[in-house]
Amino acid sequence: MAKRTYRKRSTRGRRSVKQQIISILVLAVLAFLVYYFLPEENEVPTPSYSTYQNEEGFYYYQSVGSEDYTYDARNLIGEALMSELNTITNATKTLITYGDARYALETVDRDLTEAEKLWGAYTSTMINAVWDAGDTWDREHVWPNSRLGLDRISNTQRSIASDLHNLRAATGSINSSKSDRFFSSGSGEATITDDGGFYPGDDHRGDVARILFYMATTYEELVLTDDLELLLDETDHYTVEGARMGQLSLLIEWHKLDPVSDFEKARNERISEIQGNRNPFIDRPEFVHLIWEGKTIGDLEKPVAETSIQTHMFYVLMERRWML
Amino acid sequence: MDVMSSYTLKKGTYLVSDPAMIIKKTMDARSLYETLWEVFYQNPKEFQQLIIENVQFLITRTAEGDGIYNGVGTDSGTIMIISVDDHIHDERLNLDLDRRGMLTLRLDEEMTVEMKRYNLYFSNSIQIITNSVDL
Repeated sequence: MAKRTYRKRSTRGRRSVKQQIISILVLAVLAFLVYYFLPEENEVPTPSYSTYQNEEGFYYYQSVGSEDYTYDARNLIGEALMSELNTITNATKTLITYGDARYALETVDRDLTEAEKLWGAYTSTMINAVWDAGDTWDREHVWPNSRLGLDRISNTQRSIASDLHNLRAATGSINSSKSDRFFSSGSGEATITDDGGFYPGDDHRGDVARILFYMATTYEELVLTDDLELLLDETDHYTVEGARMGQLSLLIEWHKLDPVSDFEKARNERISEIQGNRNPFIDRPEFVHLIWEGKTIGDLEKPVAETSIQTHMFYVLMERRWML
Repeated sequence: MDVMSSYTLKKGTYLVSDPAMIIKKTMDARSLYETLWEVFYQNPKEFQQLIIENVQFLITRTAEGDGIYNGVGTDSGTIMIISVDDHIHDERLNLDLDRRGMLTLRLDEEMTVEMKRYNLYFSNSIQIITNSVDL
């Protein structure tokens, strides 16, 4: 009996160790899966890039046919691309007067869902569309008026100050807050910033970035910079020397974080009907990477076949198993 | 806050400018800048005399927002008139004279300034017309 009892205890003991090892292994696998595939509470949320962007936010390169207005910019990068885009945006550009821009914005900035309203810059305020001599909304220069290199603007003039791409309908209050400020970092709603700049709001930061890219490309005298000292220097406002805006690196970041919207596409279309040219950074957002980020076309090519998430997970698991 | 259509400017030096070019973009001046817009936009159609954080000035909106009106440029859609002499030691303000995009007024005697339809008419015949209807 004693021997039998000993055997039973011994058998139970061996099973128990085996079960424990299996349990530990199962738990380890579960822990591994949780660690790798479930987001942590404090983890920074992944930016919601569009399907036209890779996992780092870079827009894929688009190949276009000869009928596309950017066709002559094909295969170009850097300065050569910027120069070609300058030619393209200016070739068909027919500016209207600054006075007429008041009425053009009644159409150009129309909201996509409420046809009688304008989608206000920076605040997303729904504004009555009809121009009422500034009572409800102003013509806001996204690239500020004082930084355009002009010393005279009038309603009868057709100039850089009347370029519709750079003009947005904005309520008086937010127009005043933004004033001549350069763009600076922030989050949430539009506000002035401690460094003397202005944050345009999460829903508007990509829009303003693409507008400024258009301006810097179309008008050679305009300069985008990161130099805060220069951006804060207002002694040469209203001169060509003071025609600078920024901050460039933030604009590049915002271009990725706030992808091209349907509103911007519609607005681009409407402006092209009035002014004759388009903002290529809305149609071809990848140009930003090729001009200001030193990327090559090869860097931005979309992979031929996207691996499915499930397959990807399988390969990750297999890889980790080998490592263990 | 006073609201009238015209005010008297005593003898001295004044800047007629976009407030954005007068109020510095520093931390010290941030509260002044923010309070200005908060107060002004309670009554934006009026020509107002405001005293905010010990800074006194006149301010009106323009009729048509951003622009350059008779040499006075604005990105804020407003124009202020501020005494240089009264605020010369205020570190929050940039009161440099004769800058491009603003008007420096040197008054040897009292003068009045009137606002009509968002245009400014000084009694020495200087005008700043922001309403294209009046051009």
